[in-house]
Amino acid sequence: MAQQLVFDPDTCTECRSCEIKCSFIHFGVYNANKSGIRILTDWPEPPRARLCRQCEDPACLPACPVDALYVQDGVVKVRYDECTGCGACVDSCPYDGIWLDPLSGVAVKCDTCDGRYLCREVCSVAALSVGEDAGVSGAEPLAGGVGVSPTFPSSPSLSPGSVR
Amino acid sequence: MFECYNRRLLRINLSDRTHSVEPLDDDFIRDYVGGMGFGTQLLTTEVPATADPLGPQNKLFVCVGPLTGTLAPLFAQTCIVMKSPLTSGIINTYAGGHLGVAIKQSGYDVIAIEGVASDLVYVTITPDGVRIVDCPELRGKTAREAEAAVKAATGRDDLHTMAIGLAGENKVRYASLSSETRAFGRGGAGAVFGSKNLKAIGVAGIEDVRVADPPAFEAAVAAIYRTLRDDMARPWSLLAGFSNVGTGVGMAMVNEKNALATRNHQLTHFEGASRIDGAAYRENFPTRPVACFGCLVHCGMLHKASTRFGELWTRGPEYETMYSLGSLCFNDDPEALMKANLQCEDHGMDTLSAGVNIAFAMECVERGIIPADLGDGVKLEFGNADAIIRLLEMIAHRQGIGEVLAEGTRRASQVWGRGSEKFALQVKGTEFAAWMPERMRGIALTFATSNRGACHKRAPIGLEISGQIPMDQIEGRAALVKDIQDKVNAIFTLVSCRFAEFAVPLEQFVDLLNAAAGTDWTAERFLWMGERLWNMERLYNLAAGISGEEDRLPERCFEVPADFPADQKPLTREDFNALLQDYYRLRGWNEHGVPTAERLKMLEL
Repeated sequence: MAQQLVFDPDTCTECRSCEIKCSFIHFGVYNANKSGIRILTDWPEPPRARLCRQCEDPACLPACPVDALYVQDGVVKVRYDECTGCGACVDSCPYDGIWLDPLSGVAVKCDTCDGRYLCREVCSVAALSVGEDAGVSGAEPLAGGVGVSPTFPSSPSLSPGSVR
Repeated sequence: MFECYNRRLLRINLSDRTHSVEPLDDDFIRDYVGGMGFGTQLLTTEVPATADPLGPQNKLFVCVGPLTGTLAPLFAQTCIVMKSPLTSGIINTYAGGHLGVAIKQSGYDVIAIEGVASDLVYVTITPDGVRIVDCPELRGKTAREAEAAVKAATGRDDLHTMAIGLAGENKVRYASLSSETRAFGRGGAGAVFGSKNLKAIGVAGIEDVRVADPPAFEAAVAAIYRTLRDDMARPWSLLAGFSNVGTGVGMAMVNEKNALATRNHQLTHFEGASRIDGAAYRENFPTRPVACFGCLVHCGMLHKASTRFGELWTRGPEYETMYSLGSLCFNDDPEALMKANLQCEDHGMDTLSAGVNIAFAMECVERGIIPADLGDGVKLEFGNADAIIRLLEMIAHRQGIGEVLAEGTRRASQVWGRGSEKFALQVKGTEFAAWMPERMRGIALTFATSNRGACHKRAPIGLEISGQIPMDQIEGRAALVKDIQDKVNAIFTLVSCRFAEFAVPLEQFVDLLNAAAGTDWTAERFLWMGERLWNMERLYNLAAGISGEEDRLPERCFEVPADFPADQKPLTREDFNALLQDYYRLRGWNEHGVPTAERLKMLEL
């Protein structure tokens, strides 16, 4: 089972840089709807995050009628070219961890960036960490400084699929 | 080329209740870049310079820029350009938060608002289209209530909003536009909304935000992250201070230098400052930093507290508010200041202008020009927090002396007379920001010459307050002020947060712009573009009747406060005039502050 991204609501400042870092890495554009992490505001209370839990027994996989979801190294991923945007996976997820991008229609979720969890690079308060226990604050940032690595990767596409 | 733009302007006509979409052509985009540039060109060409700002001819141009919605940090701001009800001249006013990215993703670079609705309405712009909706039920509601109502009506949790409160509906001249936890504070945008019967706007979008050269843009973003991180690791870093306790970090700093305007500029130091500064709020009230979109400084401090006014939550007060409703009014009560901040948020009023008006009224009472009694035994006097809270209500409702103060200190001093114009802290109608011309020469010059009135956003504050350059000397100061005015104009086309300029060199702004837009700006040409915009504003203001005669400071600034530091030089009229003439010369303007033909030719105007 892959480790899920863990979110600390008490540290998050709701800047949403994680959202657009994610969409840029995966789709080459800045668009929160194409991000595998979503930050939900609840002023004055702390925010909530929508995130895939990387379930051992994912409900989304069997729900997909066209087999657009698959597992690789314990992570559920989307075949964007096959996804029809029917939303069955969205309905099936008990954690609100997958959603549709309204522009392209495809399902979007956290795929851990092949175990690199690159959203952490842009979190200036280290509210994002990797691990199975929730509520870990002051989590270890990526090497190179508080929440920032020395260089960003060039813009690869880490998942197969095209931008619509 | 221009992949970072939507290349579309949405025009909303409130009189006809119609809307239309216009393309933005290549020349316009290339010449004006975005944000303040787009807005300035549009306003100066579409709204007559002599139009009444609260009349039907005024328009609001809500503009985002090439970097809005991207990963570049400190580019979340939205710019509104309009005619200001305070100055009757052109003004650009800004708010951070998450409205800008929503506008960008909705598919527009500019939302133009014109005309006057027949009844109170709100406007929504979503993937389902543009709607203008009657909302009599929202009349009198706070900005927060109105924003929540508009959001609920669309059923969209990705809707971002801006709204007026009672002050805007009542056309208080410095009414603001609240936008979630942020605000378009200065200049009276709320009053202009009110004059158009417009209560709120909600925007949601699903479009992709693109850049022309993704690898180059990634590299430029990584570079600015490194620059900001390096800056914030330094021992004396304003940005680090902002990220810890908010802009209120400035209060202690400024007070320690005897440069904190206190008691309507009668004093330079406030004993009570440590009760209401950034550290005090962070330590004494439950606090959570909230950031604007994409920002790693997160200067917005959201406080929640049980106070004698009830359970409150508000984002702020900012440093500027700790001055205007704090030291300026001789108020050191943090609960009352929080309450006052919330009143301004709810009723939609610029905290700066509101506080300066109240301090002005307090001094008028002190001098026997107006009576002290506000009713119910509340006496208007320096240090009385209850009076501040009462008077804010009266201004928003335009009741009693609130009716006079709702017009701003310039007009109030004309109504009350008896020499009160000497201590009405305003330039061109805009009330002072939280800085003392008496102490800082750069502030003196930029307050006097800024196109939007007494504005601090285009001042070499960091250099002066840190002591890197002596505050009380004029040598080289005019050149510094001109450079900052041009530079800030230029970065406000992107649309940058003012704070980015404290740490980021001009070249990095240009790198980001070129990578996003596919252009080939140089730093020199970018600065030239900022100077060009400055002169466009100046020409418009001259045509509006704002002459070089108004490049001046109120008499109060030439009086020496009782606690003025002995080792510092007070501001003299000789020094100010020398500064001003030096500034005109550097700007290529004549001795009356009018741009010469030669300079206009250089600026291609």
